[in-house]
Amino acid sequence: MTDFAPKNPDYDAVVRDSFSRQAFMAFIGADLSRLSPGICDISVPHQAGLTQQHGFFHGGLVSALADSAAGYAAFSIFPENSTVLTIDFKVNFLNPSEGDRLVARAKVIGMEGKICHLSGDVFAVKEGIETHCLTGIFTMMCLEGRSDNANLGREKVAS
Amino acid sequence: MSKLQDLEPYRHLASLFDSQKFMRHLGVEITHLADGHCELTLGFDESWSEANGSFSNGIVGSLAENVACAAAATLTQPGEQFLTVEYKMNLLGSSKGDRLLAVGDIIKSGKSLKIVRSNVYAINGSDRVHCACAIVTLAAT
Repeated sequence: MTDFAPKNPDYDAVVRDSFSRQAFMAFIGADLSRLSPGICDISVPHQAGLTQQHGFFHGGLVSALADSAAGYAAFSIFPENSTVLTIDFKVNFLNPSEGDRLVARAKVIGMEGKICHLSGDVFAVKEGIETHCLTGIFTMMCLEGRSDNANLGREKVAS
Repeated sequence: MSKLQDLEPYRHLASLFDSQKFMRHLGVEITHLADGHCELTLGFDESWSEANGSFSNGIVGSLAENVACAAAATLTQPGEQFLTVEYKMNLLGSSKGDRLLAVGDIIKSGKSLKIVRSNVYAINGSDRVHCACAIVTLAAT
């Protein structure tokens, strides 16, 4: 189940614009490396500031990357004039996240009403070899008629 | 449908499934086994129907968990035993159908932990609706 027709013809620009406004993703140096309707990959290169005490990528960061990929995979099939929020996620850590780069891959499993279910996986890439580090299930909600801007567009914020 | 007894080389698992009285009570059948993989099938019965005629979500969850245990058992060494420590399931759609098919696939088979992804489908004639997905964690006892 990966064929999802985009309801918004401008989904690519809308998702990339939203991603560019996620300050946390910019802070960690993440890149939206793949986007198609219902599918999103986000990758981040290694840097010492992203590691835990053993030198692996920090687990919270690994989860955050998967969450962001799942959010944008969902957002890519949402209608115009809407935004996306995470309702819940559950992840299992499979292996230490050791590598030059992390890549999170998320895809929509199904959507019913406002609720979108996704699977997400994160791989650590070391010298071209991928290790499966995390797998998870994500639930996203479509907020139709709400702005994707800061504070859901409710108030102006200083940039 | 094949019975477990026919599903070589997993004959040694027969006693494990025989001991699972709840699955026997429901009438769950093992319809496919391979290394790290299991499929279970359950026909619909009025006695576990929800108000709208679909399978009870509790039954869907039981199958998602049990198929994960069975998939894990295919990769368990003699003397090892794994028990479910947690699972999380998303209900994706209606579980209305004349039978349920639960499919379990091992994602990681470790010495201490086994992580299994389960999917449950409602089968109605030739239609197949994906009604639930789950991730199940099993730990060695």
